[in-house]
Amino acid sequence: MTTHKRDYGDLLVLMALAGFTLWYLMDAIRVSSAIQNLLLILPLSLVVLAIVLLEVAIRLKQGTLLTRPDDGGEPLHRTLPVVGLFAAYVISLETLGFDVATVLFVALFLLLKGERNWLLLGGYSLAFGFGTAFFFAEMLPYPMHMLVLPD
Amino acid sequence: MIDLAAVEQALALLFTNFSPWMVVVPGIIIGLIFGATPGLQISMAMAIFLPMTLYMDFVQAMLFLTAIFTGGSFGSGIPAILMNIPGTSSAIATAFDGYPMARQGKHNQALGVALASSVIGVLMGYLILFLMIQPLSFMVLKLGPAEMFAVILWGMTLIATLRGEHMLKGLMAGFVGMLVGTIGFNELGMARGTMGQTFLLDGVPVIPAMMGMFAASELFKLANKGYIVESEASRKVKISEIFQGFKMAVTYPWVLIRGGFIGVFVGAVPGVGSSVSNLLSYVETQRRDKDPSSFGKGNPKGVVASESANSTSEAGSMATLLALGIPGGGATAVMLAAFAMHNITGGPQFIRQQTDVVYAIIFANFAQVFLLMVIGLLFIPLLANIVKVPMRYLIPSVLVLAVMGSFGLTGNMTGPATVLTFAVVGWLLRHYGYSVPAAVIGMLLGAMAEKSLLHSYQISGGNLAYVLERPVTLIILALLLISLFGQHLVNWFRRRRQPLGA
Repeated sequence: MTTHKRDYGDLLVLMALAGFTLWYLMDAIRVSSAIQNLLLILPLSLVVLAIVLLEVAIRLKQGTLLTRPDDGGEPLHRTLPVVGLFAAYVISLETLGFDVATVLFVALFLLLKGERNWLLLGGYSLAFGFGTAFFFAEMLPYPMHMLVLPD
Repeated sequence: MIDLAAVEQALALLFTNFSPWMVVVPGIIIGLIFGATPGLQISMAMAIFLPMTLYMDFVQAMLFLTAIFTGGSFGSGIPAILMNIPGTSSAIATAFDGYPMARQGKHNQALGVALASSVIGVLMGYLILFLMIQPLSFMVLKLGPAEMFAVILWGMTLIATLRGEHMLKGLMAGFVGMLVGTIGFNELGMARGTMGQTFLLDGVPVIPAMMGMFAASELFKLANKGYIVESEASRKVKISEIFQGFKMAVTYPWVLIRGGFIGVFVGAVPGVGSSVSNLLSYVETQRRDKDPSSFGKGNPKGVVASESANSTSEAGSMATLLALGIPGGGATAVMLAAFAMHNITGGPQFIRQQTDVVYAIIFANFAQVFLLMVIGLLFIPLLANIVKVPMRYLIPSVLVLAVMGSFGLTGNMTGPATVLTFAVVGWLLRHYGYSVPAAVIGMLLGAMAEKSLLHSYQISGGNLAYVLERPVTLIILALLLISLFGQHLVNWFRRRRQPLGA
């Protein structure tokens, strides 16, 4: 039998989807209420909102509104450091450049995940970071911001 | 139907000297590399190498570009299988079963299955093109926005069946994805959902969003694992298993044939093409299978269905390009540019007047199939070694490739920011049991669906009876209803008959 654990996240995601749909519908109506503008957005939004209501009704009936099936999966908080590091990497690209930001991201990730061979850690992050940044900078027709390598 | 004199001339064009063939092997390798590198697109490869075709004659240029196309269509399946990152939207369904196979240690078989399906798919596609290029071009002329909308609706609605356990969550993810796909300017120049940000005026960049949702969110989930394949014994790269996978694909002839036909006909629809055909083929295969619940858990038939359809779509999109001069997607748009560079205009007249050139392109693709098989078999063992890389090295490396590739697609920080945003969204959706593929497919098809619906509305003047005058639309809608309710109806009739017979 499937056991359920208390988790508000599932309901929050459901509400976020409904909230986005409602906001987007309102924004589209604000821009123009012409049929041509709402031809797809209006019926699709109404269908999404109806599905959300149906889902809530089903869960209320089952008494599982604030819980979710315990599937043995990893809790979200265990992955948060990785997500945070990735976010920091993307945000730092414009200041640290694609080369240095990539080297730091790879090195910190390896450190976070338990790599203690400093030679491997340093060697790989430097080689991969600079190598990839150089490859893409050469291949792409746009300038990539770099701190050490030529733009 | 087949012009034998043109066949003779086509063979002469190809075999009087060796020069047209010199570009085929480099073309396939370029396609494989670009297809297999997350973030690099087949159309990007073709665009980068397009200037080189200036120094080639038209047949040689087309051989080079179709070789990139052929190599890339298989190449995009490789990261889909090994890392759950479809290189392009046409390999989305390949990841559904290819990646679970890789995680079970069947990466060698999965890659073999994908290669065989691609090879047979390309062969089948060009064979159908050879036999049917004229009727196919006539059929494409009959397709309007109503038919395109029906095809999109078919693809989109069937996605719900992919998530049998959480059908409501699947539908919700798909429909919200479609709404996200309509963000930005519509056809009438009205901008919706942009929050005043200029970078959203052209809509959410779909490929970076797809990379975030599929790849980054999956990698977050695997962040605390040691390897893609947990068991050390299963991590070996074995040529014999790749061949085993190659043979395995041939044991599902009906899946290959169905995928082939879906690929050619859906691939011929401009703008829809292989993005939808691989999904339709996958869903149809799952629906018809004796054990539909095994799909999504590493059933090789899923890989066969997807790869055969996306490979034959190449021939479908070539039919539209050659017969009508309309590019179906990015890759054929670059080919159209090559047409222009050689002062050639695709269309019915081109097919009539230069049938020998059309046949030469088709015949050259038959040969490319065998070259793809050989080059693919040489490349796969190299690429399959990825399963031996510890996750702590693989995850940051792939994330970096996704970020830089997305920068390459948008040319500014919008790409990396989109990857990050949708990585977090995908991670949450995945965690709470929503269908990430449905959301991605919705995003891909949202703008397309709105455009076709709007055009249908404009043509019909808002009169619904217009649909009744479109036989192809009615057929597609009937197919949609059959694929959704056909089995239920059969079961219902069976239940009704039983008491009568008893």
